[in-house]
Amino acid sequence: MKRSFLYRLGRYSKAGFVAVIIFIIAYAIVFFKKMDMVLFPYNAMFSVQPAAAWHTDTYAIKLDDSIIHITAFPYWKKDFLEMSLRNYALYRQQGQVLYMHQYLAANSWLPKEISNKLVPQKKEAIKWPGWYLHYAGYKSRGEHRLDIIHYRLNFEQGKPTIEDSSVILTQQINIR
Amino acid sequence: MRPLNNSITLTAQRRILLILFLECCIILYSGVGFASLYGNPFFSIGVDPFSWLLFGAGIPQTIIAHHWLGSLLSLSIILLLILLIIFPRQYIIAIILFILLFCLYITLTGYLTHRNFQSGMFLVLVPFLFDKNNSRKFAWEAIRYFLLFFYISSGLLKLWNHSFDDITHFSQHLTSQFAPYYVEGNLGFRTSINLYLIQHPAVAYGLMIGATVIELSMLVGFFTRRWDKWLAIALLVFHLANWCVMDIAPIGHLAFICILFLQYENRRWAY
Repeated sequence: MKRSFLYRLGRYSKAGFVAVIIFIIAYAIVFFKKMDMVLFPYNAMFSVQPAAAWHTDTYAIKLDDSIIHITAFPYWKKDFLEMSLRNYALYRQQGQVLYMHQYLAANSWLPKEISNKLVPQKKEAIKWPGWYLHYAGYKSRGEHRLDIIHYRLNFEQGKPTIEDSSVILTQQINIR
Repeated sequence: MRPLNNSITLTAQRRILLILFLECCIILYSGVGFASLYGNPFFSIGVDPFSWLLFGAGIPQTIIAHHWLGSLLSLSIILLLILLIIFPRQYIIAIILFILLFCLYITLTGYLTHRNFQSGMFLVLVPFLFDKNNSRKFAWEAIRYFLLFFYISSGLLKLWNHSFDDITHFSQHLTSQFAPYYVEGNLGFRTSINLYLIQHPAVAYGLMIGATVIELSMLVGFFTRRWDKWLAIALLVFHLANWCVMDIAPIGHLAFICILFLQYENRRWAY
């Protein structure tokens, strides 16, 4: 007991001890409420079975019918391009609504000035494809056709086959 | 309790900072940082009080909207890390750096990187926020316990959610990990391993058991520090396998894991 961390900390610093106890309690609450937490990004850590067995969804952007390759970039950049595309595609598929919109609608205790900053502005967000192209290194100036494609891959035979693909967004984009 | 041996402690602390410095260089060099996100109009944050705090105040949005500000902050992170490596006792530098890296973490996750193993980039600085030797020692212990808890909870979640009931569980998760590679036709060594594990669920199941054993073995660290070095090696192997099999890199978390080496090095000096 006397060698335990909390006991020694309590002997050394009351403030430190109280801070750690508050942290543990706060952490336990958000953890059991399954809230995302900055110190422990709760995403089930692959413990929950995927919804669709042997199928997966992914997205890609085509510029003038040519797919934009992202997987050859260094890990972090590839990850950014992949995840932001996935989330933007879902955002557009769901009529420019995010989970946070629903959460804020159900929890209106936050002042409007603050809650407005917790979600992207709709008029601004639709400019995201332009940012993506620039970030992915596309600098060919002029008018281009951009398509966001949803792919559904089937692994039932042990190898990936594209079971379905659909264009979820098409727009003309002007790279300056 | 014997006093800390300062020279050894500072040398070991410098090593941790050096790893963090290299990680930050890799992240920024790969094209991910405040400046490279300039002009990105789309973000999505979760139900996360810390993200609310920063996004509610408009801090990430302001940084992203100004290229010069993003460049300045990214450069500041690198310069302050160099300074802290030279002067590890300068807690004022550590406080500024901690705030900057915390902002970077919130910004990256808000603008949609994976939320997996990056929180270590600012958590590892917690001990450096303290000036007094003893306070710093307690902070090292505290973040060590948090690190152990981080992995144990991951293992417990798998038990809690009955992940082992279905032998195909891990194989099914693996189908999504390299999906963009398959769409682009960018195939290689890692996609071959990925496909092999999808085609052989029993082998993938065995790997998942191994990973969970590593995660749960961190419990040992709550009772003794004798095995810290081996726990750190186990975690590094776990992350290397994660990178290879699941395309989830631990860059941003390595310095945090390496505090287990630090504790081992200082064990006989600290007490």
